[in-house]
Amino acid sequence: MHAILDFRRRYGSLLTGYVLVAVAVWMLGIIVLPQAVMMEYSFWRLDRSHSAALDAEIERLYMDRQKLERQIRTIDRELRKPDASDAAGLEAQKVLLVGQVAAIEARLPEMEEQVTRPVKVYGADNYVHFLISELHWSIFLKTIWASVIVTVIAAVICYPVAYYIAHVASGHQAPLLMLALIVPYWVNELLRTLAWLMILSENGIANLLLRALGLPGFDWLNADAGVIIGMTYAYVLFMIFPVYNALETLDRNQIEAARDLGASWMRIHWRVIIPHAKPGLAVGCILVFMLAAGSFAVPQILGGVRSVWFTQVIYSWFYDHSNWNMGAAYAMGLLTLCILFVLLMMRLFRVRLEDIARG
Amino acid sequence: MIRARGADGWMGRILSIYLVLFFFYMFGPLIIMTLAAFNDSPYPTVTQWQGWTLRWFAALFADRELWVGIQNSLLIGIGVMLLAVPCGLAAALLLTRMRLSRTSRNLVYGILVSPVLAPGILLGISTLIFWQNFGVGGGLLLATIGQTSFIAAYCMLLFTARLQRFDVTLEEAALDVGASHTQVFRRIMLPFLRPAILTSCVLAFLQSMENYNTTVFAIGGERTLMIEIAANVRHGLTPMVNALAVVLIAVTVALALAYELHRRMELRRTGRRAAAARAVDLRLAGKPTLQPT
Repeated sequence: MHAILDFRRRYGSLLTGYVLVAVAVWMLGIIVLPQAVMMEYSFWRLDRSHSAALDAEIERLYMDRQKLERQIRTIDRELRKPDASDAAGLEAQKVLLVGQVAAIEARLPEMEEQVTRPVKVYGADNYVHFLISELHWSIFLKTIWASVIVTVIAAVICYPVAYYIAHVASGHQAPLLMLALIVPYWVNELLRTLAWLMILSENGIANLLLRALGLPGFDWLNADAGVIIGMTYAYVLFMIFPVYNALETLDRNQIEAARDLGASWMRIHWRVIIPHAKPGLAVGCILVFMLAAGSFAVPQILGGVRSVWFTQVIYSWFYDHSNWNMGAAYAMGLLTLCILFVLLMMRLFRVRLEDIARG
Repeated sequence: MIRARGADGWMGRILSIYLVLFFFYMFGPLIIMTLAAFNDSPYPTVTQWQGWTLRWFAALFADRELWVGIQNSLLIGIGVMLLAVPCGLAAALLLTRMRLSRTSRNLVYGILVSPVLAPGILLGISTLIFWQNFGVGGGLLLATIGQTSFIAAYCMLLFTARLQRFDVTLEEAALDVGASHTQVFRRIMLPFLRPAILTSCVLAFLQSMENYNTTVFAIGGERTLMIEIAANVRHGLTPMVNALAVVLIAVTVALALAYELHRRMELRRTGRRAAAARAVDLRLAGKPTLQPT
């Protein structure tokens, strides 16, 4: 509160109001509440089948009504007979029966509506469905290991490049190399993925080369390989820039000193350069893993019909099955995976969240 | 050509070869895609060459659905710009100027930055679910809101980087000599922030235009340029998509080069090499990443 007053003293009410309102709207209305509602959605389902007892009850009422109506018809017939005895008694009986029928008919619509209107049932059923569905669980595991593979490959590919630009390239060369990296970095993910379709498709360049070598062609797109290759290509640059930024701050004298002291080339990298690159590697790994695990474009373009990925399963819950609650639970699974990965990276690289996301 | 400085002879040579291979890996697929756009074949390929043609570019301009997609993308892009830039600026002001406790500052910062670290599809999904409760279905509006959740964070990072270089005493001085709050904001803060505002607007717009993962969930039955491309790839891919890719890449490269030149000139002028290089700038801002250290 004191902070707000202090801010207001310096910037005036108008600006203070704008800052508070805008941040509140963004933080709550666009980030926190939607996430909270998604989580809430994942914990309930619409039950349309719980009404077996209700169905039986409705059935019984219909039969009762039929029986009553039959009795009324019998009474009517009796009354129509010219020699009807005790007409008053029969009339009274009829009134009673009609009253009972009316009572039943008054109850039926409400009960029938209850049957057609599904009931919200809270519980972890959606998650249970996810965990016991062998197919979905195996797709989830595949998404995890594929994302790990993509992350590791990206780190291995990027490290020498980042090292070269940061410490080997000459003063003229480095900016040019950076520019050469920025250009593909700016090209949209969808287009970068599309570029590989012409290489990995059945009669693409990859298979052309294989056949030229006398090897049989390979069904890249249906074998998950297409998606892994595409994700690596699409996300590799998200590793280079953080690692480069970290390496750039390394004092070259440290490398020289290590060399003067007789450290081997391997040892210099292992003991001096890579440790310095750690925060960059952590950021790069987190970004690449997130992008890979949450990638929807790449599986859509480079995944054959037999290569289904977790994001596509989530999508089909929303748009093919219209079961948003199930979709929300699966999305929560993905979110949990990503949070766990961030925590793992923080452990592994011994960095704090502030180092990863510093403004 | 490449003289390796600080690397031992043969190691340096291997590294140079590796670098050449790496750039071949980066550009090879893009070049193949570009070539296929000029191939007179009914489907995109470079292995079966049918002769040069420009007809796929002509087909591009005749495609009505595509133009609807572009129009929607532009609308969303402008909407995101109008939402994300003010939100990002407000958050940056709050984080750099308000004397919050360390804990609450970190909390606010963590929440606002979290969409950048979350998979894009989750942002689309949560937006879709949340707004359904208010009777708003998937469409352009939800795509705009969904994209804003993380694009505003990029803007915030840009503004924070700029504001951290701001000399607060300027404001104090102006207030001391009797300037009103509005005057301080208009005469001091705004001119200082102008480059960052421009950059954020461009960034927000470009980010919005090229977004796919968040949009695909929040857009419902509508189409944007990126949705259109993905749909084209899935249903009857023709080299028209390649032609579109070539146009987009050309625009992208032109923008990247223009920005890079602008940035270098700016750097030369201000001479703040180190500081500027480490700031979140448009170099990374095509898709800005979070900066370590």
